[in-house]
Amino acid sequence: MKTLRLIVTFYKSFALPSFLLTLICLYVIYQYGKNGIHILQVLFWFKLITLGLIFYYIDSYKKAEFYYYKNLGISKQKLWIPIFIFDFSIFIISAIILAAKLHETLPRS
Amino acid sequence: MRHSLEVDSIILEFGTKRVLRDVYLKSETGKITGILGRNGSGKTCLMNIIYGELDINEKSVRLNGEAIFNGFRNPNNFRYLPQFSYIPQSLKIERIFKDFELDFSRFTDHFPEFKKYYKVKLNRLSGGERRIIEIYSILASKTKFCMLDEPFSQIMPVHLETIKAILKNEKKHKGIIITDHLYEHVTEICDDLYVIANGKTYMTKGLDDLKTLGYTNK
Repeated sequence: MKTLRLIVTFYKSFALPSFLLTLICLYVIYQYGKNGIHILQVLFWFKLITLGLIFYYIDSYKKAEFYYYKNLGISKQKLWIPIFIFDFSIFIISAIILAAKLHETLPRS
Repeated sequence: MRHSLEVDSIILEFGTKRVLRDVYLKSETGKITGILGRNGSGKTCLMNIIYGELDINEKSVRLNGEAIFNGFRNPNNFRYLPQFSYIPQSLKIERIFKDFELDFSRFTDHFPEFKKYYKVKLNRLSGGERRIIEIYSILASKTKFCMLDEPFSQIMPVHLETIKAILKNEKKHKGIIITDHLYEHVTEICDDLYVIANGKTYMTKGLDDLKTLGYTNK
């Protein structure tokens, strides 16, 4: 429970920009409508690269704070891996669901 | 139970500059071990090597005689106070004490003026007050060894005396390694004192050694 609490605290410091990027991706899929499914591959790489940039920035910007988590038994890897999996899963699941729905429901143009 | 920490066989180089080459340091439960040295002598690097933050090939860090190879340090064994602010500023004091499993009322017995800060975020405190929270969270939490890098900087004299009293009390349960340029306070409280000069550690026996080793001029 304590580990989860610490991971959430760390994630909260950059969750908003990461979530906004996911929303932008979903908006792009929505704009493509029935063809949204074809843009998924591009958005996959876009999200992956921007997530990488966020992680790179946070890793240097919050360098001092890693000592807080390490002093409480949470290594950098233990912080990053679950956050990466969670954040990327939210993106990929919501993107696939939205693209599939649009593909099924919208009439052929 | 008494625990021991031994460090030796360290070679630390930055480019062509050899910072540490002949190091031996021992810390034990019940003792405060001081490290002094001129700026750039490698005090912080040595602490980072012990804490696993600075990963070098040539090193031997042993806890109770057993070598530690990986970079991760279990907080039950080691905690480290870096010389800079390390606690996320957005956290409330209440949360910090909860994370470190510390009793706030024991803390306010030492620092009664902090009673009003329990529900306050760390960024609302002054630099000196923040440093007290940081020092206490490392010093008073449960561990075998704690390392304090410049704990006395930014602290006003009246609080320095309190921190020294806490240090003397906490050493009953753990080994403490400390470095600070306010060396009078370090020499006053430590049981063993090392000076790093020319990449080597020297165990000192008195204040005269500090002058001989080029750390002081009086």
